[in-house]
Amino acid sequence: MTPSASSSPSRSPSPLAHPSDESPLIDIVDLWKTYRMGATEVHALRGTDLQVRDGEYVAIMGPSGSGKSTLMNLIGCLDSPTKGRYVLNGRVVSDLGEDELARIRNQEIGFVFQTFNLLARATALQNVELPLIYAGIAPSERRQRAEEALRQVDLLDRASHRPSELSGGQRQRVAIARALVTRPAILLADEPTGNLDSATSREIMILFEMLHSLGNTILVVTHEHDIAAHARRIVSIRDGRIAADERVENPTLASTTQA
Amino acid sequence: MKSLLRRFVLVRENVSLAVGTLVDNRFRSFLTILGVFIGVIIVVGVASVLNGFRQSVVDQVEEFGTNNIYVYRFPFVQTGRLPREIRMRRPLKHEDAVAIGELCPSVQTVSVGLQIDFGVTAKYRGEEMQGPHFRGVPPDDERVSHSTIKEGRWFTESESQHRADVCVIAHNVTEALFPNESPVDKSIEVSGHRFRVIGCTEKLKEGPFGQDNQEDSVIRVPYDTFRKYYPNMDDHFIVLEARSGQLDRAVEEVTQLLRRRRGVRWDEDNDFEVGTANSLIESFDKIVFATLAVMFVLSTVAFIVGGVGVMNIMLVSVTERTKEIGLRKSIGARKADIVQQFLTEAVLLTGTGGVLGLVLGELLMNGLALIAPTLPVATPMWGRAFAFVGSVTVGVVFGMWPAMKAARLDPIEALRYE
Ligand SMILES: Nc1ncnc2c1ncn2[C@@H]1O[C@H](COP(=O)(O)OP(=O)(O)OP(=O)(O)O)[C@@H](O)[C@H]1O
Ligand SMILES: [Mg+2]
Repeated sequence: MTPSASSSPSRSPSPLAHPSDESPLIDIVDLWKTYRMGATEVHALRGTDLQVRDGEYVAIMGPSGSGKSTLMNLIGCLDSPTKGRYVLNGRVVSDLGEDELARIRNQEIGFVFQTFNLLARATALQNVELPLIYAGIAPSERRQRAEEALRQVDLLDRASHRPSELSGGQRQRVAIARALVTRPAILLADEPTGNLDSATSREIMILFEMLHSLGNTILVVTHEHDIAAHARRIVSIRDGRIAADERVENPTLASTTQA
Repeated sequence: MKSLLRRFVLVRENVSLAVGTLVDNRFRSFLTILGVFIGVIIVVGVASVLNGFRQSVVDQVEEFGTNNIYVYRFPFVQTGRLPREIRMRRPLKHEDAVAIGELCPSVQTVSVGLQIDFGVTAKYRGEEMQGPHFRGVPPDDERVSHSTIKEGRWFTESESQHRADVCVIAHNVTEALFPNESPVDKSIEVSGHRFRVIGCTEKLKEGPFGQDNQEDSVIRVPYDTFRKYYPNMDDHFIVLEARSGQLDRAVEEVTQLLRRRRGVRWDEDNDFEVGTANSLIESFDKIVFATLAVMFVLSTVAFIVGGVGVMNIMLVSVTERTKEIGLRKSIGARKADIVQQFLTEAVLLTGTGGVLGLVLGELLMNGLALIAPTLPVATPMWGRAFAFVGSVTVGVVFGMWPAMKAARLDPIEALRYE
């Protein structure tokens, strides 16, 4: 059902050139998420299966309310499923304790939100440092790594700006730097360009492209086909189930399609 | 090692976060810590006054001699009305004192006296003094009372035997009757009887509120002279000096002797009081502790009122920052980290209140010392420690629930909070 991403000829070269030999990084089997609203039950996910290998770039699409965010939150260990099995990097997530989940959120996953979720009172640099604080990194190393992450998103010159002094695209880049700063294996982005105009969206997509080329595993939720077209694989969700899972033969390369 | 470093990094982060929040919300924070602030001032104030008061009592009691034993039929420190069986106690007799002198080997010197406390008037020419204590004592009282003759001399054994009309006056009496001249060899009138002043004593330490020492208002005459004018008085008090290092044994000997002489049954309590400097301080300490208990209750009430305020403001703080908590959790904050973050904030809040209270309390006490120099105020270390530990504890206790509430937030729901 899931095509091997490595078979895609257009996949950028990466340090992990043969992921198909390994077990999947994300292995989801028959995952259910049910919300109870008084007497009625809302099944946000009803038996989702999904495998993602190390180094893949996956877009998740689907109509509003189909369960995309729910799935992303589960993958990001921000939420727990009602039923089903989620194995992340060889570990059964439902068996892990709260502190271990916090450690995974901190070290193994970078999450980018549609609404950025930056701390308003902190500077860009301080926002990026935040995960490193919970990783227990000492101040000098923290600063150095946060600056490095800001350089990666090309915002080092705005390090001392507060979110209110940044444009939407810049804010999202700060948020991406924050997601990257602990060098997680997986980058999850839930409609990262949902609040941005098309030109700014392209900035973000160029960034993801670069991160993918560096070997990061990327999952992006989006409504927009031209955004999804940047990925190497598109997974469509409908009513809490995977409806389609297709390889992108000729992904758009944001860096080469300047308007 | 790694987790220790992590703890350290987080403590730093949480302290600087808490300081930021405190500074950003200066006014709100100040109102919140008012209760703790007042609690601390109560503690510092009461502890200071009480401590100074006690110290001056100790000084005063010890001036009378740490080796002295006081014997009287009633308790020395009285709180409230005495029960009937105590009020009915028989007085001590002069013979009791004589027997102590003869039969108690650990007692070195015996003084036994009678005294009129009220309604005495002393006069010399135009000068007059109301309410001195008029006391008849043996010559040995000089030694036992630790009085120092300033001018003149003490009365002798032979003056006592011959019931001579001589007296030794204490400092206040000298001041009142002889403002401009030497009292020695002057003739004064005490309640209608004439006495020749043969000596006067040095001023003693002032009492805890700067009031004169009662012992500075005493007119002493020889015991037998006193009996000559007041043959019916029989309410003796006995003051003994124990041999050096034998105070406890002397107390025991005197107690046993008096029990026998007064016919106290083996299973009954003493029907008289035997006190030493230490036991006087101890009975005074009972009053000190009673006052401390009241202070404790008052400050606890203030601390609780303050604590409820802190809890309220912390709940507001947690609600205001729900989204921030959600974000922190989603990027790797553990439950314990969030608890620590909000506990740090609460403790910083109450700790600041505590420190401000300590500073203002100290200023108030210094001001009090300026206004009333005789009032002995000395803030004891335990008072400061109690006040500070109390305010920090309030932060921990009342910050715990809001902090737990914050830590238990679901990251997704918290992030979605508007
Ligand atoms: N906390 C919640 N309580 C109750 N129902 C919920 C909750 N969160 C999501 N749902 C429901 O679950 C379903 C899936 O929601 P989800 O947010 O995953 O959709 P989505 O695919 O991300 O939609 P969108 O594209 O609009 O963001 C929806 O029907 C939604 O109403
Ligand atoms: Mg969504």
